[in-house]
Amino acid sequence: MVEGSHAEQWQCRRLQSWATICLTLISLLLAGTVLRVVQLKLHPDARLADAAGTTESTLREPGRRGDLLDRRGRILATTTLGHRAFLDPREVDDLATIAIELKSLIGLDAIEIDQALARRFDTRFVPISDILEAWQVDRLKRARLSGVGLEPRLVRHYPYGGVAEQLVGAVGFEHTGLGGLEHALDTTLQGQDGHVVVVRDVRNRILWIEDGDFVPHRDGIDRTLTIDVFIQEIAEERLAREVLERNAAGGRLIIADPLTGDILALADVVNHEQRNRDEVEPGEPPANPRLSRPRCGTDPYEPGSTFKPFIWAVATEAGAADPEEILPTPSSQPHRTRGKRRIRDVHYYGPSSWRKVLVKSMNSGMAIVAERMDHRQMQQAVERFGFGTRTRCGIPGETTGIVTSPEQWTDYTQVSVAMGHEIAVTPLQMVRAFSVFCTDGRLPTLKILSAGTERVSVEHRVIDPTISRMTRDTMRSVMTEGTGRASQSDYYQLFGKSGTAQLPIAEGGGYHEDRYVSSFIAGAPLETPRLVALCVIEDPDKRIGQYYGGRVAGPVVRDVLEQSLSYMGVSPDVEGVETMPRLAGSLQFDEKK
Amino acid sequence: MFTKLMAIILVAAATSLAVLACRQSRIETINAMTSAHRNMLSQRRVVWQIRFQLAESLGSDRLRRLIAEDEENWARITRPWMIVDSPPEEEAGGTGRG
Repeated sequence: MVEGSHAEQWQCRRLQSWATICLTLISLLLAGTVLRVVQLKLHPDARLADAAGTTESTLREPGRRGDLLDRRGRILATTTLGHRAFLDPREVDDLATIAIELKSLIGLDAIEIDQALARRFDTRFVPISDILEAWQVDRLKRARLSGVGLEPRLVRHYPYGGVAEQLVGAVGFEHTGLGGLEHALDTTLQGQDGHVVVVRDVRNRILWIEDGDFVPHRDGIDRTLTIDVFIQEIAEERLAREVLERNAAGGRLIIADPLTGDILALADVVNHEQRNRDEVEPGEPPANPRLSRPRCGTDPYEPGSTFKPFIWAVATEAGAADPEEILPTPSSQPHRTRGKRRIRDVHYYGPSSWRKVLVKSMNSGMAIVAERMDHRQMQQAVERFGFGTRTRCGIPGETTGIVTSPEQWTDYTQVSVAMGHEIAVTPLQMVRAFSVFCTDGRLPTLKILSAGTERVSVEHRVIDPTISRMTRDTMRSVMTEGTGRASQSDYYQLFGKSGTAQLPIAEGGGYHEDRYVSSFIAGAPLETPRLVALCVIEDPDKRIGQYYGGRVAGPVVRDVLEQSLSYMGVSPDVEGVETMPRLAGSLQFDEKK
Repeated sequence: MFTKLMAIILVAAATSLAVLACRQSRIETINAMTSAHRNMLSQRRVVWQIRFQLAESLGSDRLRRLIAEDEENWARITRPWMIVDSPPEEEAGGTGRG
């Protein structure tokens, strides 16, 4: 019994010893493992450092810049992702041959690569190309060259090429707006880049993302313009043709919907070859049109006789003259104002009605009625139509034009302004003001950004609806009996007014004797006007032919109105005309010509 | 004692395995999420590219070329007041009076 108990005790102790040994070994093993893990994590051997630990890398997520669209959703500016190649000199296997290798692989310039490497040899990022084409990116990815990487970059495209380029503008290499609406709308168009920091294992597999290491990108907002690409093309093509044919210094053209205030086309042509552009040095390359200012909103001009309808309407409303009243306009020699100023007309028609004064664009008649009005009335007339204030339509850099202040307003100013002199307006202001005759006297809010944006349209009545209609009818007579006869349309009843103002001398001190600004503004159709168009041709070459607004700018306005109205599906309104050619549909016939 | 010790070791081992499995599953989920996210970004870029290519294909110049190449298959959008049967030269003449 005692022996058995001893044996059991001995066995038990033995078991305990073994258990203790096992436990100690297991504990030591576990502790060793933990210590090794800690050592590998914190102070790995230099030979293991690259392979043993995890690595963090940051993945960039570019926020996309918003698109610019035309009123029908056609893309004027959009963004894609491109790549440019870079070298990490430390990772490149053979720096001596990498340039040659890249040249043979994707056609890069080997000398430029070597130069780039020499310049930035001490960095780990040496860009060696601009944005690569798709086939180059594919080849580079397949080749898996050590030390050659691809950097993703946003690329801005303009699918319609040069159409509306001054208005749309451009972005720089960093994808921020530099000019035009790209610059003006940069805040809303600009996206915000995001990033994610990932922890990778030795095989480059993503292991983990810490809280807060993921910042999502934010795309920019698309903006829809009121521009219609097709109408814009019509306007640009026709304006460019006229500027070249007339060897003019430039031209500007706006087409707008007077009811909504939408600007449908805004063309601006500068003729760099024109004979009088002394400021351009010979051999100087023309400026990038995308970075030039939108002159339709920035550069004022003297409107000349195109300004007369506004004064005519206000004077008629104020009772300063009745449309059928016969005024003592001269028969053969210049009219003399109360201040003995000589007012010349192109033709002398003798005593004429107030209506005829506008139809025949008689300076003398305008001067006579201007002298019947007091200064305040004339100043209010200018203010009421919005001259001297910005249209705030959204075009960057818009100016107010130049209006003489009440303190400096003299009798001379009173007469000059009635003829569209001593005042400078922007084409935008002219189109807005002229729209009053299409909307029963209401001044619309012009806009370049489509409805649904933050802009609120505000309209207010400027003149009585009957006066507005009367002025419109009188301007219809301008087209049939007056200075707009050469610009009559066979299909639509246009109403409008021509203007030919002398070009001011840039240095000041008067006007050029034989250099002009020819302009024409018109609306159509007569009963329910859908469009207003203004064309300004600057400094047409007098040696080539006509320089009068009705002859130079008028046909441009007529053509763009005909084509645009046809494109919009507006039926002809000229009596007896029931059909018209497919003017806008001439797309398909251009090839044959 | 031995039994208890074995039990403790087995439980510890099982717990470790479960924790490891959880960790692996977490890693795989993150991996899947990240690749789905990257795939989404990559598809998004393809959409950008297609959008641009479509816009370029629908440009007026390209349309003109397409119509000229294959005029018979293009139907005209007409209005009742448009002359559609006159010769092209006459129709195009309306724009050239300036």
